Amino acid sequence: MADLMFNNIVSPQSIVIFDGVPNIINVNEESYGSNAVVQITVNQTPTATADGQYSITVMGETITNVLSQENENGKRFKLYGDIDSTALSISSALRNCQRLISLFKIYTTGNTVVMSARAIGMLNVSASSNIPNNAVSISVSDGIIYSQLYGQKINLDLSVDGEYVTTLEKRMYGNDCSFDISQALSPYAKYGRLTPFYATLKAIDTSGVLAELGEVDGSITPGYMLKGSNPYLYNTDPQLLLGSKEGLTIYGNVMEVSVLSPNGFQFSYEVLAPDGTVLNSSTESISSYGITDMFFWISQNAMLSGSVVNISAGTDTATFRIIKPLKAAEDFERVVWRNEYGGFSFFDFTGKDSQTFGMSKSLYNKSWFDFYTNSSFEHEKMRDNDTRTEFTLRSHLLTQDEANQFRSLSRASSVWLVKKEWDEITEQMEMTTARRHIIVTGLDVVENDTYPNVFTATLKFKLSSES
Amino acid sequence: MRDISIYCDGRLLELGTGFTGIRMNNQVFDPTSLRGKQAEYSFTFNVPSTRENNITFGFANVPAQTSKFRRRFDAQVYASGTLIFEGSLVLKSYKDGQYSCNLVSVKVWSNEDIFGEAVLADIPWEVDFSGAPTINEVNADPTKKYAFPLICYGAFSKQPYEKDDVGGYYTPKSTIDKWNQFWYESFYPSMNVLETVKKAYEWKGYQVGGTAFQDPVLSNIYASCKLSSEQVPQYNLGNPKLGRLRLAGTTATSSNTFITQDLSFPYYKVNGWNLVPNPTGQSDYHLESNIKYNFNAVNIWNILDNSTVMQGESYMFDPKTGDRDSENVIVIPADGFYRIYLTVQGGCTQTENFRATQWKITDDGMQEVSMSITPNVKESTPIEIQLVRNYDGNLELIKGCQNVKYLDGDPSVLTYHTKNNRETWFTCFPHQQLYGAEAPTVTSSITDADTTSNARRGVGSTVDITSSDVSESTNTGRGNGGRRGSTGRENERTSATSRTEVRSGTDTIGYVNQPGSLMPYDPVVSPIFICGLSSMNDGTAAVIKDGYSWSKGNSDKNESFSAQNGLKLMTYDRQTQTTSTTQTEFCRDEYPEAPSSYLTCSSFNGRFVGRVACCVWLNRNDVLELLAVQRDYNGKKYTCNISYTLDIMAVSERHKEALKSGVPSSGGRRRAPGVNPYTFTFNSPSEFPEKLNLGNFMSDETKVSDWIDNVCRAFNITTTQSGNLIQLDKTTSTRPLDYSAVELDGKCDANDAELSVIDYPSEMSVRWTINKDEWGFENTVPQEHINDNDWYEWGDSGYTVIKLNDDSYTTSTLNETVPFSYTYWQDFSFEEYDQQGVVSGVSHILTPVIELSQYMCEGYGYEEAMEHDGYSLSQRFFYRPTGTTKSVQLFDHMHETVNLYVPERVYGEVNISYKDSEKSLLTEYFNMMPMLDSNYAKIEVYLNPDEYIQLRGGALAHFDSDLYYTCQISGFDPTGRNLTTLTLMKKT
Repeated sequence: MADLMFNNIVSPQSIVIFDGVPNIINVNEESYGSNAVVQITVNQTPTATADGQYSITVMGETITNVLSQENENGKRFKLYGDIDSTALSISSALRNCQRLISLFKIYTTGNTVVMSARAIGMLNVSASSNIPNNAVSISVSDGIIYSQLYGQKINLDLSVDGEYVTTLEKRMYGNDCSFDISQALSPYAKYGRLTPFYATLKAIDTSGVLAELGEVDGSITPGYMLKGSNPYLYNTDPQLLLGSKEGLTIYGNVMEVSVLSPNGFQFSYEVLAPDGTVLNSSTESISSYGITDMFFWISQNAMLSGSVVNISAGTDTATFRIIKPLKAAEDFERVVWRNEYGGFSFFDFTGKDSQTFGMSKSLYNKSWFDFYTNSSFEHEKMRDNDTRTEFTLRSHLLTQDEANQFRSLSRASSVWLVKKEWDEITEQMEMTTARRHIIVTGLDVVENDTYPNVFTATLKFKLSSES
Repeated sequence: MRDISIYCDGRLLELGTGFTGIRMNNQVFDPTSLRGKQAEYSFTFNVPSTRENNITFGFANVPAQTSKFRRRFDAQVYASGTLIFEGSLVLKSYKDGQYSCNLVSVKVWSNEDIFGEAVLADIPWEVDFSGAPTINEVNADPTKKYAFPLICYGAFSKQPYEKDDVGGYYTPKSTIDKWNQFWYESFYPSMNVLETVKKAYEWKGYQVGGTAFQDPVLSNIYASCKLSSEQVPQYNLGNPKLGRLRLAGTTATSSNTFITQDLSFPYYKVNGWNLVPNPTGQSDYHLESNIKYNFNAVNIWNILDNSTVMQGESYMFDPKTGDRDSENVIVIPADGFYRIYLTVQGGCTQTENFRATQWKITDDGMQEVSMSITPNVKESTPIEIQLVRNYDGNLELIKGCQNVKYLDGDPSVLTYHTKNNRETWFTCFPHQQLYGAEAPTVTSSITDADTTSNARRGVGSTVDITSSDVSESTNTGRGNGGRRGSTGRENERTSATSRTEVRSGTDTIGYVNQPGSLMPYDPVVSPIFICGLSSMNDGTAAVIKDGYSWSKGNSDKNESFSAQNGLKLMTYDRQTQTTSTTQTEFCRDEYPEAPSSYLTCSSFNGRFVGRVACCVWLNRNDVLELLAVQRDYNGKKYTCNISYTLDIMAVSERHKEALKSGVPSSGGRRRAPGVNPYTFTFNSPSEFPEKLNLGNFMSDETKVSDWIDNVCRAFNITTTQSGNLIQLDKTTSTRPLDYSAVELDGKCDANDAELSVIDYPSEMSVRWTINKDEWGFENTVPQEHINDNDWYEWGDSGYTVIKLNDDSYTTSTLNETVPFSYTYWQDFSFEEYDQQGVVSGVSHILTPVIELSQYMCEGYGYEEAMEHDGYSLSQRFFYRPTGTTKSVQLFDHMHETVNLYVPERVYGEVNISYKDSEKSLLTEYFNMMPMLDSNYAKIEVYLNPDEYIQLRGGALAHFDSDLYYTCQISGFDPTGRNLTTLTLMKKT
């Protein structure tokens, strides 16, 4: 009986998968059997004459003997006085049969040519020869396979949100058959949402009976594969959808994270002073489930004094190091992205920023006919004028762990720049909930030449729209 | 990185600087094609010009070397010891010390190169054949690659069950009953198609093998007999059973089974003056010319009607036995020369005078009166034994070398008025008067020569040979005269001119046959005459004249061998009033080693003995009869006893010129022994083959190369050549190997594959060549549509047009037509009889019918229908017959039984059709099961040589945890340095 695995797990419960990660449904069956084997044993060398020609036919492919060694090529063999040599010559001729060499491994052991099928299976072998039986004997054993699904079509019906979506179909070969359902589900994966899916696998087995191979269910959300990250998650307890929890930093006083939870959960944060004193904290019961994107302000004063911000969702915690010196200045820029788990990650660039402008024009020429009649005659005219602004952000000096955060950013497809507005009260630029999509055009993380393990990140991007 | 070794004609190429590596391409399977022919080739690569390479390439680097780029070198390529390619290497160019080369997969040089202009009938395929026993034996032996099935190539030969003045009445054409006439020729051989291909290649010295021969369906397909319109297949007449007849027997002309026939060339002219009342009144009577003949009709017996004994078996004779309406005739099986040796002896039993009514000039004028006839086998009661062909009331006498006239008609009268009552004279040719002589026929002058000579010379007297002073000399200055429009005729006229110049001396009278000489019988007298013996004129043996008739009224050219001395030219000297003869070469002929031909007879006791030996060209289906011919006395007949032997043997299909050329027969024929130069003699063995050449039953117009190409197209067989070995492989690429797959998932990411559509044409089909006028096709049209204007649209053409693509922008179609026909079958009723000949049951026979509808419909006359056949209609296929439950008796003297083997329509559920509604050639051997739900996936992988040869051989690709067919391998680098692009097709 076939086994069904999803991402190498038997019957996973509450699994959350990501559309950018291979999600493999595997039908596995321990088929077993034997390879078809043909053995051609040369017992003695018959006398070859020019009148008659000896031949050996295996699976419809025929090899014939020749009298001279120089003609011994292709599908022709020679009968030597030495039976081992004859066997070798026969095996060489058989190997020149394209169909046979596709089906069999062909070799000799002493005076016997062994043709062993490359795969186990129901290979009905036929072999014959007009060489006298006492000279060359042929034994044949058909391949056998004990399998319910070998060579059969496996059908995978996929449903999303309770609606049938598509059927994938493959042929079973060997012991297993795998489907990667990520691409089929990808159109239904949306950020901030767990989209339920359901897959059933069926086949018509080798005896013509419908075989229900099993079902797989779970949820999908956008995400991608990153070194060290989990290719899938279980939605059994509240958890922060951060990528790596090492090297998290924060500069602005706004926290943006996402939480995966099967039910409502407790979310809290606290700002700790370097001595561990809690400078500011808050706890809140969140009633939503699935993926919850959290966005909240932290006291600016606490940020000024604090050294870390701890957050927790249920029992899952993470620590953000507050970047110092904290000027709370208008000079920093926050880049937010959807990380490998589909949750929010952010980085505050506090280094010097810059921008460059570029333009490209395409022109075309008019005719000269109006040259004398039109005082405002233009010969060369502009067809298109494309201008682009490229921005460059630089980080503060980073540790190795902090620098690793950029691996996630480098693969992210949804990246935003947080808009800031002038706050009349604080009389400084403050972050808002508004964001602009940006296109990352370059990201360099460079280790400092002077100080090992100190890195600087430079992000180049352009706005997805100039407006 | 693997090392590469290239062997070229067994020599290792030096691949040094300049070798650019090899990239192999292989078209494994094209799903959009009806066929999946493999093609393997390489990109161009360079090989340096080194001393060894120059030798290997035959110094192709030398400008003066010719044909340098026309050679193909046997090539093998090894990658790290694994043979990855075997085929041909071709040179493309030479420049800067580098040879540009390509590797191409082995292919047959075009069949046209192999077979040239050879036609199917040229293929030698000789088998033993002795008629019905062979037919039964071969049909029952499934190992034989030919068979003699019952196939309807037209209305089966049949006798009428009733005849009246209107004609014969026949049982239905769709019924096989006791009225049918089957001969061994009714069962033409059908050859195994692949075996025929094999024989053709073997004929040209090739060995043949391949997967097609192991395929149970393809190897069991047989072809119908397809002949050109005028082609008549020849049997192995060197087998005495088929080509020789030896009969002996006795008969007496006493029975009443004779027929009486008037002669066009009568005898015994009564040419006196008839006294009639004088219209002028000056006297009571005056004389008026009146001509009658007393020998103007004959009684004819078929000698073979009586107690005939056959030595050995022969299909050439069809004697009347039992209640069968046989004809007791000899049927000639094929065109050719037949050696004939006829001996007779016997005697006239009539010894007493008898009275008979004859014309006689009496005082009352010409009257029929009863007169006493004295028996005389030489004159009054003669006997002739004639072997004739295709008798149609047109027999004439041999008569001999002289004519006889009784002036008053009564042979017993010696003197008529002042003249001898009996006059005799030579005939210038048998039955023909000498120049100026009175015409012996009821017609006027029968030759141009007569008219010319009469006008020329005006010699009016007859020549009494009894008073002639015959002297002999030899005239070798004359060619064969008498041929109309021929050189001989011109020569004769030229001679006549010269004769005019010397007419003051002598007059040429004509060519005469001498008593006792074998007489050349002019076909203008009787076209049916072959040879014979006559007791008249002291006994005469005669053989049909070789060459053209003397008369321009007959344009037939006969060919014969016989011991002819040549005629003598008779001249008349007016001064001495004597005649003389000169031996000429005219009508001289030789038949070395032939027994002398003669007939001697005795007027005393009427005994006669004689023989005639000759060799005569006869035509297929000539019906020969051995006839006893006697003078008819107005119903009064006399009796002769006759013993005879007759030996007829087919000896050669070569014409006389070839047989006399001194060149022995060659080719597939039996070589006549003898010294060089070869002399054709009476004792020369038959040149007809002793074995049946099945090639004779194949078209003598269809080129072998075309036919093989078309067979390969019809069955989608791939032909490749490797050295002397021809491989005929069924196209396996349409059925890739499901048992093994090359693992590619470890070599590439499915997400990197380029997926694309398979551009199928809008429709695909393989079509037969259908003749809508065929009976079989018409029979498939439902009756309710038979009168529609588009009735033929309703017929079964044996193929299906498969619609693949409804996209309006796809306009391409893939339809192929093979020049063979779909096989149409007809259900024949087969009547079985009990011992009393009463119908005891009716069963059915389903067999192919190959004939036009007009001849097979019941409304068309049976006799006319039997004159047509469908051998020239398109060839078609069926499976070998497997068993028999019915039999028929052949219509020959041996009554041999032939067990009826009827072709099979289905083998292993596979029909020989191109329909997709059944298991067919289409579904089994063509790529007509398109996977419309599939697609191409193009990927790039690094392949090792073992994987390459597996994929090339048809192994599946295991890719994306799924199975894919390999369609194309592009750029395989045996060294492993470059990626190979694979075009795969998802197996759905």
